[in-house]
Amino acid sequence: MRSTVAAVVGFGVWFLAYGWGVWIPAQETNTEASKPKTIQAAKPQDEACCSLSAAELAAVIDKWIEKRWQEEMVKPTELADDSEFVRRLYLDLVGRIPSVAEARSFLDNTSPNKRTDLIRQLLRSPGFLNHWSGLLAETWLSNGDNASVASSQRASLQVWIREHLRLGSGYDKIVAELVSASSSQQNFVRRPDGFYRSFGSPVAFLQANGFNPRNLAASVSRQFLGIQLDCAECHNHPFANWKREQFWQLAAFFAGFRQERADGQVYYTNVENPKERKIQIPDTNITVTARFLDGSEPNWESAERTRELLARWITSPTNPYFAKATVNRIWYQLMGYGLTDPPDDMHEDNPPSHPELLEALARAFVESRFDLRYLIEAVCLSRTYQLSSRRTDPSQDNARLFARRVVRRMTATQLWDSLVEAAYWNPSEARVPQFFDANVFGAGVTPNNFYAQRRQAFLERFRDAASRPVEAETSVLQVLALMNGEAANTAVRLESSPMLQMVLNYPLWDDRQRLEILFLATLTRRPQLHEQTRFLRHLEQSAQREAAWADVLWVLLNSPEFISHH
Amino acid sequence: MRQPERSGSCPYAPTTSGIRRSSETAFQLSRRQWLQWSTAGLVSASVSGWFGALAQALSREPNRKKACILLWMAGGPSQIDTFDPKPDHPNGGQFKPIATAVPGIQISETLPKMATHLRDLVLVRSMQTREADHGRGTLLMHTGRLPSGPVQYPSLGSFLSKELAEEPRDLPSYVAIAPYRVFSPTALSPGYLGPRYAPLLIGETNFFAAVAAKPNPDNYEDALRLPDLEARDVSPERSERRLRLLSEQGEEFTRDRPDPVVLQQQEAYLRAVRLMRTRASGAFNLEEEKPELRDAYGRNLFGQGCLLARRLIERGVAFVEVTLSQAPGVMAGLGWDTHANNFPQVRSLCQVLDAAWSTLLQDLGARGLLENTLVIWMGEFGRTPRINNTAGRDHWANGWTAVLAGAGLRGGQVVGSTSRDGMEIKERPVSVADFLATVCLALGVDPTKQNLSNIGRPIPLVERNAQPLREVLP
Repeated sequence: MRSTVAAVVGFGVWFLAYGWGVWIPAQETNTEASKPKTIQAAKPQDEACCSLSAAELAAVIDKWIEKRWQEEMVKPTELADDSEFVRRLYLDLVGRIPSVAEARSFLDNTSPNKRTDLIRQLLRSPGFLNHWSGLLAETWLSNGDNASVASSQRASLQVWIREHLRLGSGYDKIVAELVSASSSQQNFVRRPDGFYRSFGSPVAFLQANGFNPRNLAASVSRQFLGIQLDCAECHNHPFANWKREQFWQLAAFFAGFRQERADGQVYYTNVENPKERKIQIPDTNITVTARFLDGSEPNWESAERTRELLARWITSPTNPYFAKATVNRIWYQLMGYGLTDPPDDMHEDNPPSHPELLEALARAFVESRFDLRYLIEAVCLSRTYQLSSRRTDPSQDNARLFARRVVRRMTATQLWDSLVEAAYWNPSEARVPQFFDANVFGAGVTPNNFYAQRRQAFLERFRDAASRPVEAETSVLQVLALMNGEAANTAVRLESSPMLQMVLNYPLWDDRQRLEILFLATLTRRPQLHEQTRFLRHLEQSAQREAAWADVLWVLLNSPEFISHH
Repeated sequence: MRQPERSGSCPYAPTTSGIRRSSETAFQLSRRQWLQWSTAGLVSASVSGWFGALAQALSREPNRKKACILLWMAGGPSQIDTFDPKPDHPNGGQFKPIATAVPGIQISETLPKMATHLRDLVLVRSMQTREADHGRGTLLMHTGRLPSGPVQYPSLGSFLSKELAEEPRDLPSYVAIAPYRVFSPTALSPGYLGPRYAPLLIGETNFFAAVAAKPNPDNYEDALRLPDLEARDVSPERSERRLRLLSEQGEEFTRDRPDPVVLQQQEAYLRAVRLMRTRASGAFNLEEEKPELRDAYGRNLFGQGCLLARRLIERGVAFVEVTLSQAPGVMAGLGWDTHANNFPQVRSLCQVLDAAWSTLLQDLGARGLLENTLVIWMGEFGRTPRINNTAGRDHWANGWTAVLAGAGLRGGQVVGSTSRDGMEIKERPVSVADFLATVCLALGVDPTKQNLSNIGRPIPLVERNAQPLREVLP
């Protein structure tokens, strides 16, 4: 009797807690199966796919960049040394600085091909998948309604992009699937432990835009065509040659989502009439039919669903905007400024700094079947990418000529993950959790380990989604966190800093070697002579050895060289 | 074709000013800045030099600009149970109206102390905002805009403190006390103005923490301390030694890389160090206040938050937001969101509010600060006049109350009115833009002033179609 009662009560508690939430109920009663779709692997790429190798494309980049230098009488700065290069490459490709071991193995490598080898190695590392899937998800959702983009949506999109990157899908394929994705796909489930588990789905993009045709048109044109059409929503575009009607013709591709009203507000649901292709311009009596931005009319017979036609047009090799917008976006991501800048505002009054280069990159990208890794490899191989950030001549001051490396602010996650590396915290516990391998879903819900709370507070303090990394400002509060905050304190206190423990306790090192380790761990380089003198003197003058070493690490972690991406 | 009204306020609309983002000049500009800073900045300034300059700045009593305190009612307070009673209708609920210091104006019995302050207050009883969702309403009331496209609008705390702050300043110019950001994580964000205008957050009420572990209502003392002002176990001498080393270590990198990012980081370090060195001034040390005064404000997060707000305003902080989101018997964080069991919860919240707010006005007045300080009371919306079948009130955006006080406004006035049942606005509907434009003008800030946004176009502080409440302005 007693055990029966216990069982019933037990089941009741279990059911209340978890049972109802095991599956997120799909809102719709639509046709498509609600199972997550699996992503098909790309066909193996033909090695001879591209007319130019990545190295040859890198030479093309340098040719056009150097041509402008000559025209503008610019004296470029010198090539970055190995330290500057390896730090930059790790931050750009895997989102953190290299560890001491990684830094050393690169710096001490004597192979003449070591830069090329490292670029290839990192492009094929899991860190690349994590970092770039996160970057793309963040970017694509950045002009959704920011207040309402849930971290679960970002996570879901990231998981889905990551799987595509892992399989080597072409960028055209990823975008085509995203634009045409069925709105009824499931993209996450609630697990018995209460966390959300994502399968990853492109639907998050539609969701983040509220299934709203207006938002989707603005997002899609900005993200995939490099065109800011938002202005044309209410009036003809003030600078570019876009008409209000064209905006709504694009929006009409997303007109199928059902509208509902509540509390006097209109919102959209994921219930879709996939064949809908007409939309009414708000506050007017005008109804327009879907039409591509270049004025051509879709062949309605050739597809089941309206959005499929748009997806095909956008990602077609002959689309005049897609490849250019993409190469420009990647260039911006790696170089700090776009060839057209701002990168998502390409129009006649905002011409590219290097039009021939933009053309050449777009052509090569199309020929590579939209291979992102190929494009990134080419940029990283170029001398332009590998220039130092040191200013050696006033003629380098026009950042749009790329005659020296622009210094960027690290993103919150880059900074945190670099701190994890420098303090030598256990990365599997301390690093920013990746949504596909951690049970972390939903805002604010983080696993309860030593680092989680510090990480959450840190990331929140440093988040700055609105600014460009080349212009981003650091606030006083951020600086206070770097100097005195819980995370910084944890990193420099002996009991919580494996780095300091290792450096201080290893008996065979002298202070010179210890200092070298701390420099490699934080600045990815060995100290110069005058730096060595400075810190050794500090150590000599300090009564307390442990505190003195903690001060050294504190200074390095707060130095502008550590907290910026250069 | 009818031109839609919204195009007048659209951030993308053509402008004559022709301001465009010019990245070409980024380096040249910053080079100049670098020269300025390197002569007066972290690199070369001696430690004592900084300290001396600071003492001077503190002793100088500038002819200061106005300041603003926003009392934010998270969840959306009931207008009928506070400032717009409806005694002759079932919608009025169980609270009775009471007379106030201004003949002819009645408010709810829940706010007896505030009734005596009515000469200072402007009651805007006809707020009309059309947003009955917490997140969007919170964002709307803070930025004056609904989220749309890629423009990230700054919070009023950010754009007002940018206009009002005095330079050089030792404290951040925008402080948010006990914020509850779950409804809208971006409502307090500086948006396109950048992190320099971000609020200093103190005593944040964290929904997830609140769910996981019941918050201790007595820990407000800890909650109201400034974070990260000093490193744990680091003596001032050691701290100075670290800073000296840092300044040497950063010199070469900064000299070789005069990028905007690097120079701005340097400036932020300078400000932070100034703030650390002024900790003796003790803005955050509430122990300095008389116990009777602390009691009068109320020994709770909101009450002591209001006291802290006064101390900060006194020390030159331009904008302080204090959130009321909890009271005894009310679920922490959700505050005024009284969908069920409205009346006892409103009574409890009003007890906290009445004591803190009335003491704040008195205290500001006694110190001669009320003339120059605007106190705003509002939430993201009001609550339904109709009482639902769980004795609660739901979200209501069409005809609710916000209150202004101080800054020389012509107090003792009611603006707008609602019908006998509270369901309709009878006079003078007030939009968010109208309201925020009034706030700007009360503070001596031009609401049409433009800032360059993250999409490269200038955007005015408040939408251009705003009609400020001229009748309440001095």
